[in-house]
Parts: sequence; structure tokens; C-alpha cells
Amino acid sequence: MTTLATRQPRVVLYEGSGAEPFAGPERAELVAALLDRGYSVTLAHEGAAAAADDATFVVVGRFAGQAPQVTAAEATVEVHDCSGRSPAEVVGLVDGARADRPLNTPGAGDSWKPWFPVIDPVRCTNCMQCLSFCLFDVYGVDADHRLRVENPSNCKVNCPACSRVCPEVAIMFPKYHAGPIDGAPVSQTDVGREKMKIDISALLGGDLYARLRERSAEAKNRFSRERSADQALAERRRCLTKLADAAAIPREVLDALPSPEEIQRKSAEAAKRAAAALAGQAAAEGMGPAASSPST
Amino acid sequence: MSGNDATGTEPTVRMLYCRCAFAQVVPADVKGAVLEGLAGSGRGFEAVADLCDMAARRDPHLADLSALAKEGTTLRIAACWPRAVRGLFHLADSPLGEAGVEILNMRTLPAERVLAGMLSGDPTAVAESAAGRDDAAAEQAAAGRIAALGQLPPTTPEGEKR
Repeated sequence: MTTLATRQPRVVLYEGSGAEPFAGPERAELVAALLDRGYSVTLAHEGAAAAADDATFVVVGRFAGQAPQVTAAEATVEVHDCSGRSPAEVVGLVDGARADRPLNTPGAGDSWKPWFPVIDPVRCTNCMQCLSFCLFDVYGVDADHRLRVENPSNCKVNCPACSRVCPEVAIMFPKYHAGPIDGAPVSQTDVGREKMKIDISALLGGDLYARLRERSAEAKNRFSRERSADQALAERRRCLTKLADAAAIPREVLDALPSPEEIQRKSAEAAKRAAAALAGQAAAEGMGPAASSPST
Repeated sequence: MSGNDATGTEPTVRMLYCRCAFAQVVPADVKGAVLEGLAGSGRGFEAVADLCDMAARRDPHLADLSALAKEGTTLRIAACWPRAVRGLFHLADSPLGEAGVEILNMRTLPAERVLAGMLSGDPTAVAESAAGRDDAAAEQAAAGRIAALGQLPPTTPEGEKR
């Protein structure tokens, strides 16, 4: 699990009074370079101090030796005169000023790709199917027993599987390549298609992970009977391939799944949390404890 | 940071540009041209490396922006699908209101349409942003961009087809 800092550091490019503007193409090049490093950027024409928030650590501008003093909400901000410097040199200056502030840089070896489910609150009915399905504690519930994405960084990059189990097509992955999972409008056809996907999962045994557990158990039994590790592994591989095709789960995610026993334990935990959330919802609505819990 | 004049934009408009720097789902030529257009407009704006990254951190700045829009500032966002952008603000506990928020979709619109929405508030560009994707038209537009640039198409995530 990646622990996320609250904010990405912000740079203010100041072009207001007392500063010369950057040339147009140079300005765009500089902003692009800073964004591609992971920084947030504010291009300010008036009020460098007003443009600086508590994530701002540096203000850069062509001050011609007259750099202003800027104090943000929580800290004094460094101000650098970048007259005569190229965009690449300004980025170097900014990197130096950042010091040890954490920065999630796209493409860097240790960077975190922001891949996680995003709930469409208009479509979500809080049925908790996704909470019950996810083995990685991505989902949780808020104080009002409504679904929330609690631990985005727990999500497995490029895996959109939970969006396939959502009966309302309410789960998006904005970096997915196709609609409606990418956030494109949901059509009636999409709703039908999503339902069909759930039917496929039902064909596999009602729940993909439950089916995985069963198949693993079957394989284990066969292993004990036949004492063939190869056969057990082949069985697991067949099962995983079927899962990967049915729910578009990347192979590397399936390969990284914990042991069947661990899957069973986590699945039971998730189902328990989902049932508790549903019971909480029902109680809040004055209907008493929920009559049923989601399938696991 | 508060007020509408902090970035020097017209008094009631705040512009936010998302670079979507961690993925290649927004065509590189579109997001590049939109940034150039904003940078060359003579107006202040905010830019973030990745709105998804901000939302995952529940960055309090998203709450600031959401509050501004509710207080009467027009918030214009150049990013991706409006449904996804609204979902991201919601995830960050800063839901956007219906009024005062205009989202321009760089995944489907050409740069000039996005800029028309961002800089001139063209309502048709906003409406087109929320409309469904016409795959055939998108393919055609992409082919046109490729021919114009004389280079390879913007790539999609590993092994995926747009």
C-alpha cells in the first residue's frame, strides 16, 4: 500500500506587477515541464501572495532583481528570479527549492499511478457488491453507511474488475481506455452488458472469488488424491485464465493473489463489512436490520 | 487562497487544466494544444499534473474550488469525461454543484473546441463534452491528427486499444 501525502507541491509562476511576462511558447513549455514532473502550477497575473496556498513552496518569475517576499498560510515561500533562464533551468531551480517534499513524478520508478475506482454518486445505490467483491480493502463505508473509496492506493493498477460486478454501472476508472468504465455516458446497452457480465460470473459459480476458492479446493483434493503438484497448478491456471477473461482482470493481479485460504479469509471479512453497512443503512432508514447480505 | 482574482482571470471565472500526466488516455496533441492556448491567452489559470492523483489524496484544494463554484465563481475544467470529473470531486469529499461548473472533455473534443469552452464559455462545447462518444468520428479525428502531425498516434495504456 502506498501512503499518499495530502498534496502535491505547488509552484506559482508570477507575471503580475514587478515581473516581466514569459514569452508565450516558453510559458507553455515551462508549465508542461513542471506538470510532467508532478507539480501543480498556478499562473498568476496579480497577487503572488494571494495565489500561494499552503502547498506552494516556490514562486518563480522574471523579477529583474526585485523579487517580492511571499508568505503562504503555513510557511514562507521561496521566491526565485528566473530572468534569463530556460524552462529546463527553471525546472531545475524548482526541484532544488522542493528539497525533501514528497513528489509523485509520472514515470519515475517509485511513482504511484493514480488508478482506483471512482463512484458515480448519481448511479450508485449502495448495494455493497463492490465492497463485498474487492479483496484489497479499497472500499469502505462512511459514517452514514454509504459506500466510499477508502484506500485508493490499495487498488491494483489496470484492474477494472469491480466495475464489472456493479449492477448499476456506477464504478468508473477514469484512466480506462473505453466507456462506460472511463466515465463516458452509460447507455441502456451498457446496462444490459454489465448485467450479462454478472450472469457470466453467476455461470462461473455466483462469485468469481468464491469460484476460485472452490476450484482451488477441488484442485487441492485432487492433489491429495493424485499427489500431482503439476496437475493442481494446471487447474489453478485454468481457473485463473477463465477469471481473467470474464472480468478483464490483468494476469499479474491474479498471479499476485494470496493463498486460497487468505482469499477465503479476506472475502469473508469483506462480506461481513458489506453486510454491516447494509444493516446500518436499513437501521438508519428505520427498517431494522437488513434482511439479506450480499452474495460473496 | 481565495477570491476570484488570485490568478488574474476575469473576475468570475476560474480555470483548471488537468495534464492527466500518469496515463495516455487524453490525446497528447489535444492536451498540448489546450495548454498552449491557455498559456498564450494572457489569462491566469491553474494546472495540475493529474486530477485523479489530487482526488486520491483528498487534496483540500478541490474543496476550495468546489466552494468557489458554489459561491458564484464559474469553474471551468479542462480534463476528461464530466461524469468522471464529478466523481473525482465527490471522492475527495468536495462534490461539485450543478451550477457554475463547466467541464470540457479533452478525450473527445478537439483542442479548439476545448479552448472555446475554457476561454469563451462556449456552451455548445460544454454540451459536447458530456455527450456520448462517436467512435467512428473519434477514429476519423484521430486519423486526421496523425496525418497532420506526421507521427505515431497517441498511445493508450499498454496492450489496450482505444
